Amino acid sequence: MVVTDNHILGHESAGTVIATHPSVSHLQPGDRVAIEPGLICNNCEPCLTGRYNGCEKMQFLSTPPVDGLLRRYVNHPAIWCHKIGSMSYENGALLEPLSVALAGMERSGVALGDSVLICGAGPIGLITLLCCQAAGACPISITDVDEGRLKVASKLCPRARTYKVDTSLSPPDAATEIIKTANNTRPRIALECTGVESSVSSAIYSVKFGGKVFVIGVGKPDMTLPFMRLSTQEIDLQFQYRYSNTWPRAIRLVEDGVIDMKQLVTHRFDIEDAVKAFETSGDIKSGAIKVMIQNEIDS
Amino acid sequence: MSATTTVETISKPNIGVFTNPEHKLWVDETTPNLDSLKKGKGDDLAEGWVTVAIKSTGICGSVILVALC
Repeated sequence: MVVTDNHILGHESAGTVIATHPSVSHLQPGDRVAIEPGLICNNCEPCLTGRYNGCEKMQFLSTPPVDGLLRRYVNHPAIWCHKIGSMSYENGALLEPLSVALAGMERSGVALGDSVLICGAGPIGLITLLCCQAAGACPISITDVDEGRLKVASKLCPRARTYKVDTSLSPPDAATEIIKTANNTRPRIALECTGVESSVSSAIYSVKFGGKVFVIGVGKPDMTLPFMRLSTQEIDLQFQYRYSNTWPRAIRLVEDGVIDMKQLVTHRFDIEDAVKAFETSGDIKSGAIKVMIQNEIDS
Repeated sequence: MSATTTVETISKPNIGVFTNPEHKLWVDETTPNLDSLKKGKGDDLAEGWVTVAIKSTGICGSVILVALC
């Protein structure tokens, strides 16, 4: 994701339809929508087999060079504008990170009663925690280097076991400590939400024989991972890349109150103060989880 | 054929949040522009497209990486 020219940011957005091309029949001005930011070709094998997140000609808004959604007004294909009814615009915007988590839940196969480890308590890790809680996973352990984020995790899911990562420990030793938090129950599935090499390795050492490490996080291009641990413990190492067909499910989950992400929004800024918003979001000392940029209603 | 008219009073210019290869961040005018929005036609709305007045946008960690790193 290399910026080579002036570039507009943002891909988690919701708003109101204000104009439609006459060919559009399922949306009209006034409809509240959440925007799915990937524009696909509908012609390649991933598209034609329903896994359009892998579109060979994907234009994903906010991934350079495709301009993103952080604007007052955008034009977008109606098919990728999902109606959100009376849902708040903030929740509508949060459907995008929820979609990331839902893609992970579906591909990893977390089931009722599964022991689960979530690595990372940033926004994706916390939303994944909400999903695992709703899915009935137990026990759920969650790790992070930041105590503040672990406190948020405990508020969202009081039964989650939290572990503050000691970065001086080797991955096998970190795994020992993580497992202790879950009464020595090894997770069947680790949902890795950091993309950090040491965290992925610790997850590999944590899961039980025949378990799975599912990597939601993105990281550096090349990593060194414990190959023989994966081999001798028959651990599946699986990945995801964005999402497909998740917005309808995400909308139902939020509308029915199954997933409540309100507590994740810690800071709000007007679009004119967007620079401050980014500085806050990038400063771990700010305590920011999800920073929202809002547009004042024009009229 | 023209697009349908808007339901909101549009008076403020369309602005966007930009970054560049030097990781500078700034807010500036962008498309679709105010004149075309006020006419209710968007910025040459394509077949199957709509204009959305964005109300909320979340900042993603991956966007922070693009913008600040």
